[in-house]
Amino acid sequence: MPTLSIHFQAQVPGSVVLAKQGFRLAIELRVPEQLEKLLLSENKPVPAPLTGPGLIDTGATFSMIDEGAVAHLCVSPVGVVTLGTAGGSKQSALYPVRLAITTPPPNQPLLRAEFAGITAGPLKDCGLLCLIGRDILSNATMVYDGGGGHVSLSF
Amino acid sequence: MTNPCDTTGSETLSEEVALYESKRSEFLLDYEGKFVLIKGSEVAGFFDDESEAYKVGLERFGNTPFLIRQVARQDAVQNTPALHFGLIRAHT
Repeated sequence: MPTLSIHFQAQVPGSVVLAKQGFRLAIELRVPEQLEKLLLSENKPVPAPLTGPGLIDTGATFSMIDEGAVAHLCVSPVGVVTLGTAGGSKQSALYPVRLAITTPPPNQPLLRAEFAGITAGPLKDCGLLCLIGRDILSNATMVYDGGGGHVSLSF
Repeated sequence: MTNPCDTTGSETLSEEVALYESKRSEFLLDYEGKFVLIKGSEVAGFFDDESEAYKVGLERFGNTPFLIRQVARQDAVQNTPALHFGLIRAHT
């Protein structure tokens, strides 16, 4: 996983906002680089990148993207994973994507990662493009100062 | 490439998953920890990492569904409890 030592501070005005919204950051999703090359070589259009909010979720064992992003990026499934849900276990498809975590404007990349397989779920209703789970956070140093309304994340 | 935008879900890969499950014990003998690439009834190869398997899968099958699975004795169950219990929207 690529690492960039950029200190990140979320744009939250205080502890109340942080408590309500959680640690949100800017996410960009693209098709994998290898798929982009394939599409270009076949003179096919490359889906435009998607941007939106991601939420740090230390309770999630893995990261997840919104299922609408899968349709937009036009990526085919490359795997299946078992998800534990309130209703029991179920199978869910895995999709290849290129994910970047960016800082606020001018949008410097904090992290760029290629996923050979990431699952998708109904995140749009939560106002999210992505959940950042412990798979990505396993490479991160995170400081959550709830009282001070301050968070930082570095890779 | 029959469908350049087949984003359908896990049921699409049911044949590949069934093949993997039927051959898991056999795969474990020589390829434990490797990543197997399966398309339909074809085992297309074993790779050291997922990205290499994806690259070969794209070259051979295009942007269509295929299975990449790490050969392991057990598959972990993954969880997103906050999402599944509706807690993410609790304060919004």
